[in-house]
Amino acid sequence: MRIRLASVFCAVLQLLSPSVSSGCDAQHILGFAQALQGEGEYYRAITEYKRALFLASSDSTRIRETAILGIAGALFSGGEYGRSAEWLFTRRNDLDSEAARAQGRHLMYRGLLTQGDGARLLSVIHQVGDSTGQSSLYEGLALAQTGRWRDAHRRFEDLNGDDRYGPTASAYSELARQGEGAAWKSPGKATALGIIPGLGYFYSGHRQTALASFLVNGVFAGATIQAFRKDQSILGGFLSLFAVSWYVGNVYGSSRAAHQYNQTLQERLWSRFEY
Amino acid sequence: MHRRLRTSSSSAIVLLLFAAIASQAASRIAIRGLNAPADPIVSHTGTAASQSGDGVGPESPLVKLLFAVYQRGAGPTKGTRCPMTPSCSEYSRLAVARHGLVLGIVMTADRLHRCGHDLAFYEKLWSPSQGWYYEDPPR
Repeated sequence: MRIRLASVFCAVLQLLSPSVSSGCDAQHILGFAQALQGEGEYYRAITEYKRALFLASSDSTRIRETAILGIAGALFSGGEYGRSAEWLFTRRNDLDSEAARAQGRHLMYRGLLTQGDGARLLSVIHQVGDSTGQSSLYEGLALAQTGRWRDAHRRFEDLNGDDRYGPTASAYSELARQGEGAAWKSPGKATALGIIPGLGYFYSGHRQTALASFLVNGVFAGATIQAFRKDQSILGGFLSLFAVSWYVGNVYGSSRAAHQYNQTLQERLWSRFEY
Repeated sequence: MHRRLRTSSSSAIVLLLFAAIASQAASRIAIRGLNAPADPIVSHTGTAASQSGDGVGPESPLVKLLFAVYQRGAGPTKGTRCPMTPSCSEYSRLAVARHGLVLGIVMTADRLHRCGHDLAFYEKLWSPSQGWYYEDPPR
């Protein structure tokens, strides 16, 4: 009975196998994945690309490359920039043709830059060992994104003679020059100025905060002094706790305000780059 | 002189008594869940994680009670709303939780100086019940 059942099962499998194999053709699946991606169904497209990648034979380079780039493209379109870049980084050796490699590198660099991970982009360019004009351009952008404006300016200047990337690099170079010459605030200087209540905030562009700090510190210091002068030592002690807290908060805040100013300026300068 | 000494020592005793009662009350309140966030948006700032017992929240029952009393009692009744997210009291609570009492107080003083001023430096958020300008305490 068991033997009969098994033979029936095998016969059914044999009957079904041709239709199964034609339904699992990697080329067809790739087409379906691309159609899904075109419709904005990025995550379903990724599943189909992975299916095509799994079924593709070892010699079908084109299918493999299209699937790898397709997954990265779908992740990027779905807003997963970092994941897209990391996927390409791990599968970069599976891209055999020069065209696919160039496309992969472009998507990888762009993904990291859009993710805001300039530091990782610099490390990736170094690890990939890419020395093309495209990589120099992205390296300059990564340097600008991480706030290294002088290095970014130099990198763009080096590309000025390049036929393909020269005009773009020239425009970027001007923006980097502006970044280099921008009025950055020194957190150390802000802290030193913070010894006079409000001055550190004022130096860091926080004018309303500076006024508030000056008034609050003045009022509490004055009240503390008055309390001690009038022999109200308990009240004086209580007020001095507040006065010291306000004062130390003002010095600490001056440094933070300088950092905040620089961060805001960096974001404003970086937002001018269109890549 | 004697009178002043007597006044000081009685004040100290009252303060100690208050601290003892407060610690007891805080542990009871913590069990009842009074420290649960009033608004779901606070989970965005990490409050929910700190409530889940991952060791982030302020440990001292007295500190817990003071924050709970302000956030549940005094804060809502005073009528004005902090324009920042997290609010100054929540910022302070997080700062104390992350950096201890001394640095937490310094950060709170800094935040109170900044509150509602120079808003161009802050990321603007939209929320129906919390503030508009985002600034999380440093980690």
